[in-house]
Amino acid sequence: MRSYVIKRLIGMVPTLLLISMIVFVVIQLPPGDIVTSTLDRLQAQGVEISAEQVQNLRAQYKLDKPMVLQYLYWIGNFVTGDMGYSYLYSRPVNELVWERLGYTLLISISALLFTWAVAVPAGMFSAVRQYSVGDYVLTTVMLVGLATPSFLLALVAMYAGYEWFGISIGGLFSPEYRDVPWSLARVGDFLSHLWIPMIVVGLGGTASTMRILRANLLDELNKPYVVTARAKGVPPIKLLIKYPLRIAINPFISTIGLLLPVLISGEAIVSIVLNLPTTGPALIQAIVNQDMYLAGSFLMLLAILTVVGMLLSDLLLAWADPRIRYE
Amino acid sequence: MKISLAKFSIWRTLCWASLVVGLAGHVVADDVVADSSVARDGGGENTADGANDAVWPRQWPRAWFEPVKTASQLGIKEFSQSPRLDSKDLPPVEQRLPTDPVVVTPLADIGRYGGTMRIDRNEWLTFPNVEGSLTISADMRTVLPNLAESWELSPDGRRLTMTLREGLKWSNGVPHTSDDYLFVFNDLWHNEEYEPVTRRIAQGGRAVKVSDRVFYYEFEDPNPQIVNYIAHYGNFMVLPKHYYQNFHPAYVDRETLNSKIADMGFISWVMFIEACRLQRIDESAEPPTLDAFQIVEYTPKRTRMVRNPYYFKIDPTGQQLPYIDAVVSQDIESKEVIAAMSATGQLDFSSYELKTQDIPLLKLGEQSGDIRVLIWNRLHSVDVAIEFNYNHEDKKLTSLYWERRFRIALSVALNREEMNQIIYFGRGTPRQVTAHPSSSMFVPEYATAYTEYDPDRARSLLDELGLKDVDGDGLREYPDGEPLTITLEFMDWETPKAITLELLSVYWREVGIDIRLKIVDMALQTARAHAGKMQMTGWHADRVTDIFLPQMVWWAPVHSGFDNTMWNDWVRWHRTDGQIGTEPPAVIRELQQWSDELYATVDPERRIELGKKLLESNARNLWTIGTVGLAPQPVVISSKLRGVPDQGIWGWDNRWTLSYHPSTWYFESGVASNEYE
Repeated sequence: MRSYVIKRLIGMVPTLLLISMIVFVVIQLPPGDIVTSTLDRLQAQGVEISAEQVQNLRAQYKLDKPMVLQYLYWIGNFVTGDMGYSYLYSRPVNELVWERLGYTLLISISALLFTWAVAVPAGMFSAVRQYSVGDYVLTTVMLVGLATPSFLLALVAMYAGYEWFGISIGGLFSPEYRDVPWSLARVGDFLSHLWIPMIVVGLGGTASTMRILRANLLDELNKPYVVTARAKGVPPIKLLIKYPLRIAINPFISTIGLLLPVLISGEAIVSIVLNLPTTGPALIQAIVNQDMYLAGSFLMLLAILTVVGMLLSDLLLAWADPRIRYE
Repeated sequence: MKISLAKFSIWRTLCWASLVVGLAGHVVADDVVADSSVARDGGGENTADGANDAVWPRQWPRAWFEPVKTASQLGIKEFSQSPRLDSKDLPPVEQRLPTDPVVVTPLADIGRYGGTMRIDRNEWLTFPNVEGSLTISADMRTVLPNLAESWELSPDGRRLTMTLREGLKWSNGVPHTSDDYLFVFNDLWHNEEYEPVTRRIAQGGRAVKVSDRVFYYEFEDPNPQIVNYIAHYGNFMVLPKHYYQNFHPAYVDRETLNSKIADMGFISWVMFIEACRLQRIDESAEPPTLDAFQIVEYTPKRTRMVRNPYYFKIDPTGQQLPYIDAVVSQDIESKEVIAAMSATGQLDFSSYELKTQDIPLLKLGEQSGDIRVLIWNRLHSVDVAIEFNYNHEDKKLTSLYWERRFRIALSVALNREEMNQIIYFGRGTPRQVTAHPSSSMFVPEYATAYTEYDPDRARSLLDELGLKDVDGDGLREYPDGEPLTITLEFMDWETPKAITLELLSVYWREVGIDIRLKIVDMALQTARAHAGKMQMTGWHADRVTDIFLPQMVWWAPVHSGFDNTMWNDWVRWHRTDGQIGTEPPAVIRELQQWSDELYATVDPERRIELGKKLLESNARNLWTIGTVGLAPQPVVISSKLRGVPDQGIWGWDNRWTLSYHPSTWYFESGVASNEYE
């Protein structure tokens, strides 16, 4: 077990290294950089700029070095915990990242829990009552949720929240709680705002989760051990939860790691629509403005989360299903 | 960018789908009726030459066009302050005000103190009444005194002497002196690290102190445009030296400075000063201000401001301005959320991020009674100016562009009235790219030249040029049979460019011109504009009032940038005295010479004469093609906010709200000042 974990951890290093290179190169690919916008400002004021002066400006922003050196500089500092400086926000990236990452994880995890809380019972029901009216209704509702783009859901939820529940538009807090220290009242306010992004981000995943669970359960339900247990008089609910469900749930555990990036990318669009202080909007701003350290650091952190998430889900899987062994 | 664009258009589609059917028609009809009942009269006679054809809303007080009076001129001897300041440990109001305070005339009534203003952070220059040494009159052409009580330009245009009012103080009580201006001009603008390339207006110049109240700007060459520049940009030309000098290498030992800046988490002192003065970091709450409001707390999501207790302006009854006690400005990243928050009364003043297309949504919100939706006009000469790239590498295309008949054909092929109805509910003005009506150089005929819709004439002009449809697909080919396709690349930003160009492409295709539209993002627009790679592009034509006209952004090849990319090679040739670039044809060369003389002349009549010549050339030759301009700009205010004019002119040229004195806006009773401490 321990050697397995260590092996996996060592295996992550080249993966992350490769990701970091790709991230850095891709961010730099489009034409222009942060200096370009400075040049525009000067040119708007009627200044023609020589190539030499552009070089000086690049040097000021430490952009004159070859890309390889810039990369090494960035990744070297990143490893030691210094993520560089955001030109866009004029502050160290470290300051910007943590708070936003916290909210992102909070929304993603609560959305994940929401997905499971809805999809698992629904999947169980529609497997046990296959082709019943309830099965069709649930499937239809879930598929509508899957088919509707999340930003549209966000708009509808925002409208509904404002119109019927009087929740202020935009953000995770009411204006009066936006910048005050945490208190019980603030937590309450936060929770009253959290449900919109939670449902919106989570709903997209419920349909597929439910359908997979339904299919897995249907496979198991007709197996001889279930028939035997049922013949021996095990109560139906206990039987369902104790045997077939434990097996049918495996695919979910093994995809926790994969769900993270999906949730986070879904979260980006929803966050822009709902004006949430998460990584998504800042990441898009950073990429659009080619604020390379900020964008690179965000993407790297998300990559790390994903890779670690994959490891965790593999470990969870082994814990949940004793048939799986580390070899 | 792509994601947000898609999302924006969906939100708009939603709004439109729900509103256009039932509501927009009735809303628009209501508005037009309401608008025609607002009479306008000529207000131009108070300007210097009286040649002004512009009309101003009758509601605007005459005082907004004239130099401000002072307390002694109006015989005001008693001064009072907001009750919020009574409990503070401050010197009495008489001592905080300058020796002779400036009296500002509110729109109508004298206001009352109190209230907290809720705005979005992008309104940081439009509501908190910013102050410079000079300012612009509501007529957008006359320069007025502000922090400086007088100024004098030497007859040769090389020296501008400024005299500050006596007893002005920063918001922390420190006296405001000439040094605060010298710091920006000499220590920042002429510092190689801070501005690697000195801006055109400051080249060959320096600022010299005479006394604490008197200083002058001096230039090697005549630079009369410095007056306009200060009137427009003046609030960025003064900083509290006593604060910022602690972060400047001329005043602090380099090593100490570097370690101090690094400790604060910045990469250089330049970055720190830039971010601090542009109100983007926590430290922005530290330096004092001359503006109506002082930042007391800055967080990434919110700025809190309270009234500046040393503000130098009073109302006609001697009450120190501003009326409003505090401002809370939130950082809202999504423009759609800003529109939604404006429509639902969660912001007390909002306009900067609102669009013409938001009007139906806002009008729907107005029915709740929480907000009022004012329709101002943008000053943009046109919302989309169509730019030909005369220096494009495709010589066949550029020689076609160079045909005047081709440009006229493209202009008269546009159904501008229909554009106006579809995009602006009929409340814009079909126009060419020319001066704003307020300008001393404005000639109405230049604005209407070739704007009539005449597709038959367009077709016959194109026929004359030998552009015929050979292969029968309804689109014209070059005379030699090669396909003629023009790609118009643009960035959908600020004004409704996408929908305008969508319509334009329909009209041009109707007369047989194969036009392809391509949306690009800022980085690509910039890169391709500088490289001269775009065949055609579009941008909104601001910088069209007397304040900016001498720069001749649109009418002569003296300027190029991401927004203006019609003639890069000719601009380069001009700027480098022929070392690089291409020599322009004689007619263009003449435009450059006129523009140079206009920029440097100290004779106002000669300036106007040259300006009209340049504008006439554009009206005759259509170097750029205009669409619809002077378009409606929604301004949403709380229904409790008073003092905001029903009609106004909105744009960078006049600094949006500055002529309408936001410090005199006030809340009717019943609005709490809960953010004040």
